[in-house]
Order: sequence, then structure tokens, then C-alpha cells
Amino acid sequence: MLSETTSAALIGVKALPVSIEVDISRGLPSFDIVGLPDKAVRESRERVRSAIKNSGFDFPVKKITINMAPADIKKIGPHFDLAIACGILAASGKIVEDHLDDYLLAGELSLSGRIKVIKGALPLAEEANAVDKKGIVLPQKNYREGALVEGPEIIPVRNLCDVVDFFNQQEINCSPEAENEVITAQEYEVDFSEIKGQQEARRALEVAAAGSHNIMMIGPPGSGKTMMARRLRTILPPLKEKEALELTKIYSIMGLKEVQEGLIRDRPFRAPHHNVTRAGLIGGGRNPEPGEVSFAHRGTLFLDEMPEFKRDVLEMLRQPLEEGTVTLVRSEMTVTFPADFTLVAAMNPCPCGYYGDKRKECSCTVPRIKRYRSRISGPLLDRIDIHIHVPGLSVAEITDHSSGEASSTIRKRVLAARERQNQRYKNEKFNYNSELSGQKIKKFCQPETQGQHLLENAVEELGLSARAYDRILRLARTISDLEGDGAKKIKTSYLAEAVQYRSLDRGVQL
Amino acid sequence: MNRHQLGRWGEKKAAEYLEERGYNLLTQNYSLQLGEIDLIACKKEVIIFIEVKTRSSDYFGPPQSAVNFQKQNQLRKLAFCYLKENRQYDNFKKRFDVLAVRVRKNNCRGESQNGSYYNIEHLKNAF
Repeated sequence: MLSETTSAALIGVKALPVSIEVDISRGLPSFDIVGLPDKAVRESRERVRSAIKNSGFDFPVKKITINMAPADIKKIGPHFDLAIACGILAASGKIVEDHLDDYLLAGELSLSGRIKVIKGALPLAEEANAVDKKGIVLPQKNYREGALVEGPEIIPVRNLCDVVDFFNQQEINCSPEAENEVITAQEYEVDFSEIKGQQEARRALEVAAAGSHNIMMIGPPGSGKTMMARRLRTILPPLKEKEALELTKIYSIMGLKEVQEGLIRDRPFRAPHHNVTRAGLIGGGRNPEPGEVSFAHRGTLFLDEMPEFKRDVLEMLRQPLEEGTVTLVRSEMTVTFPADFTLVAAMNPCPCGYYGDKRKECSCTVPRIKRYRSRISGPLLDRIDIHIHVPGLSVAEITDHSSGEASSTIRKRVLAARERQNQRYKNEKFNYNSELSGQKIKKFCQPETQGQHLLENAVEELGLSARAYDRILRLARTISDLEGDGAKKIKTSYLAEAVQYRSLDRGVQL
Repeated sequence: MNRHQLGRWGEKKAAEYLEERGYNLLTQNYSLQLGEIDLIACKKEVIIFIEVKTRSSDYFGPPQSAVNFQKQNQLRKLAFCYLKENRQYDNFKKRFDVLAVRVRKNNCRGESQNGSYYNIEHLKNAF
């Protein structure tokens, strides 16, 4: 009276197959689960017992031992319920075992035997494919999520009886609520044409999008920093299928509602409030869960009022900014989540907010301004390529009703610039100008002679650091890509524009 | 028949059942202040401590489910005491069995001698 079923454990955004062995033998009635089960798995005993009984089957009054192998990975989450229940039903002869091993099983049981929606259906379905199972049995609500994976057969089920019927008679009683549709064009509710004035900032955002550079906007309250940040994703190229799947996986393991509708195609925009904790921003917990940086994967992470964030929280951003992933090390497991986002930071130029404003006078002292700005550490600022001043709007600009360039037009230029970069870096490990560093900058970002002079002057006059020098070259490369300039040497005009984007390196000027 | 009588009746049936199968009964209802062991039997150099549970319905679960951890511990202690008193079994193997006796309620009175009205499940080496 031994049976075996397969499910999978979720570790980060990956799943690992777990085989569940059920042994029913004579002896005093007991029900034990071994193999490093977490609390929710241990509690599944009660759910499984009631679900089997309430589905009209006898729960065997015998000695039941369940082993989850491999025994050294922690099994977390209630989705093991279904595999355990099916194992028991098979061991007591209620389910024919012929096909049981062809499918991966995942589902949370309710006491009534209904199968409830689970977290992580997408990585589980992927795993079913990876271990060459014929398919996966999933809760009906998770059908569309699982169906994103090509290959495995997805069996949607509503309750335990559906599962028993499926294995005994090969008939599927339950149909998916809806199939995934193929959507090609995406629509955002916001558009770049709504931005009034701010020509300089619009251009900077376009450059940021083209080279995947991080950007910092500095300006007085009400100048439209947040509004523009929100619109950055509308000029980014649409997500590729692979990228969309990566993103959907992150949302899937958190069991967010959107995922039940299928693939997430919109680039995310995440704007955590400045009291966010370290765990909230980069992820954490004993069983590590992704944070805002991972939810912003392939999209925009917007930090409004950046100096208000706790310093240690901001410093945590360094790894994801550098590597595009975040690794959470805990005593029980180490998990890596993808976190490849464009950082958009916004801050006021000084504590009162009006330093450099044309219409309102600033009331801050220079030391106070310096102190305020120093809350963002050098190393972090270093990873932000573009600093741009966003001045308050003039009356004429506010009342102007003409609309600017639409997102779709800008997106075409961004796409072309990215294409140029892909071409150039096809033999390299990276894709975008923002990822250039050290030797690679020397190789790919040669300025023309006149430009070299300009740069030397700028370094001299503005007191720029060696680091800032490299950033300027990278930026100039992106600008030239955006302008469709294929020349190997970067033109002086592009370098001049790039110098403009390093305003914070210049310090406080009165 | 009340609960007590039902229990005694079950123990009697259990004893008959064991004897039929070649067990040598040593003691019935070995009791101390701690509690009691329903049956002690031996067979081929094995001494067996037996708990008999009788129930007239499965409404509250099967009889054997009542032999919980506390009851098991109590039986272990009692068995220990018994072995202290009877050193001749020192070299025997020891075993704990549970005999679950199920009866159909209306029939355990009167002609309960008839075997078809109850069934006995013998759980060897139960704990």
C-alpha cells in the first residue's frame, strides 16, 4: 500500500520537483509527514483528512506515513495538499495509479474538497515541463497562468472529485474560465503628450530610455517630476516574450491577482513610499520573498523624495543596480530574484524645495543644502547616470494647451537606438550603453579630437571626477545612438549635451 | 449493557480470540494504582501486553484511535512494573498489541456469543 505522487517546492522563482511517497500500513491510526515540511505543509494533514472525507471517500484509519523527498529542501506552502491527498487515495486504492506519475500535482484543498488558487503556478508548470511530465494538475483559477508555458498539458480542476475522475476515467470535468489571448499592442493610460513644457527633461528621459540609464530629477515641488516618471515606461519598447515571462513569474510566486489573467505585458511602474523597509524594497523574510526592486523588473522603480529614504535602505540598491539581480541569503536558503529596473529618482534641490527657482526664493543655507544632498551617498549617485534639473513651470507653459510629442513617436526612436546598441554589443555579454564600464568604455566610446578638448575643459572648469568622465562618455554614446549616428567617434555636440546631465557633480553654486 | 460491561465483554472476547490462536494467557486485568493492563499473554518467548478497546460504533472513530500517547505511556509503565515482579520473563522479547473489538450495537446483548456480531482487529506491535 505504497504510492508516489509528484509535486514541486518553490525556491525563489524556481521550482524543484518533490516526490511524495505515501505508505499506509496496519497499526495504530496516525498521520505523519516527514521530509522538512513547513508549517503550512504540516497543517495540510487536517485539510487533507477533511477534504477526503467530505468528497465522499473513506479516510483510511491506519498508520499513514508521508515522505517528501528530497528531504533537505524546505517545503513551503499549501500547494502540496493535492499531491498528499492523491497519494493517500492512491495508496488506499481509490485512484488508479496508471497515470498518476505522468502529472505534477499542485493545489490547496479546502475542508470541503474544493481546490483553491495557489501561488507560483507558472514556475510549477515550467518545472513540469523540465522534468518531462506529461502535464500538471492545477486549480481552475491558475489555468491561464500555467498555460503560459508551452508543452505541458494543463488539467484544470475545481475539486478533489475532478482529480479522481481524471485519473480513473481520463475525463476532464472542468473547463478553464478563459483562454489566454494573444495581445500585441499595449496601451498605457498615460502618455508623454500630456507633459507641458519641460523640453530638457523630456529629452533626458528619452536618453535614459534609450540607453537604459538611471535618472535623477531635481526640481521644486509641483514641477512634474512624478508625472514624468510615471510616463517613462510608455516610451520603453514593449516587453519581449521572455522578459514578460520573467516578470510574470515574480508576480506568480506572490500570488498576485493580475497573474490569473495571463501574461503581464505592461512594464511595471513601482513607486514605494519613502518609509519602505529594507525587506520591502529589496525583498526578505525567513522564506525570502521579492521586494519592490523585483516587482519593478524590466520597468521603472521610482523613488520620490529620495533623500527622505533611510540611508541603509538606499544602500541596499547597489547590488541590484549593478547586477540586475538581488540575492537574499538566509540561514535556510539563498534565493536570487531578478531585479533589472531603471531607477528614476526625484528630489528637491534643497530642503525648502525652491533653490534655483525663478519665482520663489530659497530660504536654505548652503551647509543645509549640502547636508540634504549628502544623504544620497556618492557610490549610489555614481550609479545614476543622468541628473536633470526640472524647473517650475512658467505661467505661459501652464496655460499652454498644445500637446507635445506622443509616447509612440518617442518609443520608435528609443527602439531604434536600442537596436543599434544590440548590434554593437552582439559579441559582448551586455546589451545597453549603461552597462559599459572601464575597458569597454575606452573601446566603444572614443570621442573625436575636438570633443576630447571639450571634455578636458569641462573636467577642469566644473571639477568633475574621473568617474563622472566615464559617465559622460557612456551618455554621449547613447545620445549618438539616439540621433542615429553610426560613427565610431562620438561627436562634440553629443558630449556637450552629456556634460549637461551631470549637474549634481558640480556641487552647490550660488 | 453499559460502557463498563461492554469493555469487560470485549476483553472476554479478546481472550477467547487469543487463546484460539495459540497464545498463552498469563494474566487478565493486571492492575496497579497506575491503571491496568487488560491482558498479558506469551507465545514463543515473546511476552505481549495487550490493550483491548471495544466500541459499539465508529461514530467517534475506530476503537484503536483511543489508544493515544498518554495511554501508551501508561501501558509502558505498567509493563515495566509487571516485568519487575516477574523476573522469569527477563529474556523474553516484549511487544505491545492492541485488539480493537467492534460490535453492532443492538446485538451485543443476548446472543452476543455468536461470532458474527462482532469483529476483532489485531494490531501487532502497535507501538
